[in-house]
Amino acid sequence: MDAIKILGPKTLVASPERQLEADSDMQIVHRVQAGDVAAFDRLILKYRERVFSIVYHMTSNREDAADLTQESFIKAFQSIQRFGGQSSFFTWLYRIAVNSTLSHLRKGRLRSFFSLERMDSDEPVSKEIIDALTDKTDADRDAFVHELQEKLNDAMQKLSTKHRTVVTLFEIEGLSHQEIADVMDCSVGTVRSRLHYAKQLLQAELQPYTRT
Amino acid sequence: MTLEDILRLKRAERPFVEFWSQFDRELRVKQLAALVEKRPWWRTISLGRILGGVRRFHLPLGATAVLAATLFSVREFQAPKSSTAAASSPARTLQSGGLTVSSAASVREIVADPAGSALVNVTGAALVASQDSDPVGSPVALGAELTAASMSAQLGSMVGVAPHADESSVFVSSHGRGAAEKFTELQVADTLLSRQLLSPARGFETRVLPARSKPVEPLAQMKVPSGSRRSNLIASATLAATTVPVIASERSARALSDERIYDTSSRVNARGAGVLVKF
Repeated sequence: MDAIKILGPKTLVASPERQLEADSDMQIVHRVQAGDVAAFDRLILKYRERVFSIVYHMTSNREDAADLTQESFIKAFQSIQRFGGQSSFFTWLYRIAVNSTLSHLRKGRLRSFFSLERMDSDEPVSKEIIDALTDKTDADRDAFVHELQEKLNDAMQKLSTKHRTVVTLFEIEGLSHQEIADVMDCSVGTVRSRLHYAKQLLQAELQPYTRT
Repeated sequence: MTLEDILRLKRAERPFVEFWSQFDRELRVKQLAALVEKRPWWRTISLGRILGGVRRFHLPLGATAVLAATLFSVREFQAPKSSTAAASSPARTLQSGGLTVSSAASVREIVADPAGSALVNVTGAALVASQDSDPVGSPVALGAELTAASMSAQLGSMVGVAPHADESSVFVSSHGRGAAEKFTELQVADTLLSRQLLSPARGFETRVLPARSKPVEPLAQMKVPSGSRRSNLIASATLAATTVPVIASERSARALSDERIYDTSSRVNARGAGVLVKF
C-alpha cells in the first residue's frame, strides 16, 4: 500500500518505478508549460514507441498508427497548458491516444489491408517465445510465426474496439487494471469484465494454435 | 502454447529504425504547423476550469438567489396589502401592534375624526378605555390575535371595563342599555373589520389574474348586407312616421286661430241624442 500514491481523485500509480517516471514527466511538463517547447521532444522520444504500439495493435495498420500517434502528440502539445497533474502524464497521453484511435475507428476510416510489422528477433522475450512456439527450422518457423500473426490480427479485429483496447493495454502493454480504467475512464470491474469476454473470444478464434 | 503466449508475441512487433526517422520528420512538420495555426477562441476555453471556478461560489450564489427570491415574493405579496391598508386606518392600527403601539392621542384623533366610520369610533373607544384602565392582559391579547372573532370578543370585554375610562370615550356608557347598544355596534364593526381584513385576500384572484373579456362568437359579429339594408329602411320609415303627424298638427294649429276655434265650436251643439250643426 505504501507504493501506491494517489496523484488525483482517480489515478493510482501502482509501483515506485512508475512513480519516479511520473515525477520526472511532471518536471518536463512544467518546463514545457513555462515555455520550453523543446522539452516536449524528450516526452516524444520517451513515449512514441509505446503510443505507437497501442495504436498499432488497435488498428493493425502501420500508416494509420503513425498518423494517429503523431496526432496524439500534437493534441498533447496543444493541450499541455491545461494539464494540471490530476493524473500521471503517461495516463493522460495514453488517454488521448486511445480516444483518438477509438474516434478514428468509429468513423470507419480503417484501411482494409493489414500491414504486419517485422518481428524483432533480438528482443529476448520474443526469441524465447518463438523458440517455445516451434521446434521447426528457421524457414518454417518464420512462416509459422507470420501465419500466427495474421490469425492473431484477424482475431483481434473481430473484437469490438473497447475489448480490443483492453486486451492491448493489459496483455501487450502491461498496464494494470486500475491504469486501464483511468485511461478508458471506466471502472475496474468493467475492465475485468471486458478482458474476460475478449479472452474468451480470442481463445475460440485461436483454438487450433493453443493448447490447454 | 497458451493465449497469453500468443498475445505476448505481438509485443515483439516493432517497426524499422528508418520508420522512426520519417516519423520524427512528419511530427516536426505537424508540430510547427500546430504552433503557427491559430486556434479558435472557443477551443481555448476550458470547461472544467470554468465549472471549477463556479463551484467555489456555489454557496454564496445559492444564498443570494434564495434571498432575492424571498425579497421579491414578499414585496409582491405586500404591495397590494399596503395599498388597501392605507385606505383603512383602523385596520392598519390594529395590525401594526394594536393597543401596545398606539397612543391615546392618536386614538382620540381617530375618534374625533368626523369622517371616521363606526368602526373607527368603536375601536378608538375601546383603545382609550383599555389604556386608561388597568392594562393587564387584554391589550397584549388583542395585539396578538388578529382574527375578527377574537377581536370582537376582546372589544366586548372592554366595554365592561369602559365605566372606568376617560370622558373622551363618549361611546361607552356605564349602563347596561348603552352596553347593549354598543354591543350591537360592535357586531357591525366586527363585520366591517372582517371585511376590511379579508379584502386583500378576497381581491387576490382579481389582482393576479388579468381581467378576461367575455368570449365573443365570431359569427355573431358578422353582418348580413340584407339585414343592414333592412335596418336602414326601417329606420327611415320610423323617422317618417314619427315626424309627419307632428308637422301636420303644427300646421293645423297654426291655421286655426282662437276665434276660428270658438266659432267652429259654437256651430256645433250637442244635445242629448243628437248633434246640431249650424252653417
